[in-house]
Amino acid sequence: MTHSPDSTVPFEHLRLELRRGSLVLAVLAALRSERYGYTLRRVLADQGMEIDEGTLYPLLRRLESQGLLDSEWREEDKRSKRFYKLSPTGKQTLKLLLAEWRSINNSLDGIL
Amino acid sequence: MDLVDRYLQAVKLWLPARQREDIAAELREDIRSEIEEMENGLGRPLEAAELEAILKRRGRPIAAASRFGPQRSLIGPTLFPIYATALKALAVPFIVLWLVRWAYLFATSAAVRAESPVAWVAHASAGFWSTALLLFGGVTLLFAGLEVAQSRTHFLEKWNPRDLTPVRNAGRIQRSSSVTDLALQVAFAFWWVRPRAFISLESPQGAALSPGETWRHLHGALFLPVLLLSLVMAGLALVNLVRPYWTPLRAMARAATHWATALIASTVLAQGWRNFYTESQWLKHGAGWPGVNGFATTVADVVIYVTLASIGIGASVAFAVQVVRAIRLRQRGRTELRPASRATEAFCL
Repeated sequence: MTHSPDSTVPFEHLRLELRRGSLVLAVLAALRSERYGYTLRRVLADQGMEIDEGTLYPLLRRLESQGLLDSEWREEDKRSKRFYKLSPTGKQTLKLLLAEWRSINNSLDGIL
Repeated sequence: MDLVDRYLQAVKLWLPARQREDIAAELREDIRSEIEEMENGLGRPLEAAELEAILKRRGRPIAAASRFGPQRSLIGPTLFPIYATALKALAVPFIVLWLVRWAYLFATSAAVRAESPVAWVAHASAGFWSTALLLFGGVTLLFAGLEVAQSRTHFLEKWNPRDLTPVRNAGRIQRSSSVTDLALQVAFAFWWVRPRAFISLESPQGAALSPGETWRHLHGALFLPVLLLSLVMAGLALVNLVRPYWTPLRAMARAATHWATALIASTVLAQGWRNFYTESQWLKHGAGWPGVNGFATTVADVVIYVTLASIGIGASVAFAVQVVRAIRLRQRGRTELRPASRATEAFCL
């Protein structure tokens, strides 16, 4: 039985917290092009933003209920899939969030 | 795909009814895409173990479904600290009272002492768990109700910093409390030494209400212990008045006086109860008030019983509080809670 060093436990929690905030931004940005859930996961993973389905799908539903995403069921390769894309409100919100993110980045750069 | 269907069926059971089919269809598609991708990579269909691994990684069906529901809690994070404090505050006197009850049963009942350990445990715990469940369940329901009210009215968000209580020193004893305590103990000691002057009443018609045999018997038997206890408590109040900071020793001394008070109260209640009521001796000599005398006797009996019971319960709770205080003081160390100098003390006053 192996034990991880104590310091990795708080680090892992903090890392997840840090990533959680960025995930919304990453998902919104990735949905500037229309995608269905699984391909969205692959695109994010390829860019180093791994996200499990248990986090992604509830997040997509929440963003849709907030009016930031539009979705529709469509057939592709003889299989029914739900496609998501940014809504006009989502596009506007993404712009504002990106500006906020850059501002935070600049502030952090200054502090660090 | 049988295993996938079984998994989705189990997930659907816990999904919100309105979105059940929609979410399940999307999850199915996601699992199928993952399987397809793995099969393409391996160049062969997945084996049962590999399929199981995919589902296992997605978590238990109930856990997978719970992520789609709204975040719910019976008692939310804002109220939870108050709820936990309330439970702790109830737990201490509750356990102390039951311990007193068990000790009393053991001390007074020969039948209980003769029981086997198993029977004794069964006897002792009868009513304990049901009362505890009722009590703590009631508090939980109360806080769940408050949580509902909080989510609707946000009453906890309406507050004013000016209403906050002044900064307190946990180790400090209020001088006003010591003065009150001292005055009460001295008054009680005087009353105890010459009780008839306070208890005997005379009506203009000459009717007298005077203590009965039971009271006189108890007063005679407990005269010295009660007087001593009262004097010790007066002495402690005096010490607290001069040096108004708790120390572990003083907290333990105070705990001992509370314990003695609870013991005396329970002794009086246990021994005097039956004689008190069946013989109605308290106001027996109060002739001259026909029709009123019996009623007055009953009222006096009830008032005395309730007062004694309240004193017993209050002393038990106070005993527990002082023991906890003594333990905490010992843990923190005395120096932390006392002023560094006279000047600091003057400033604190």
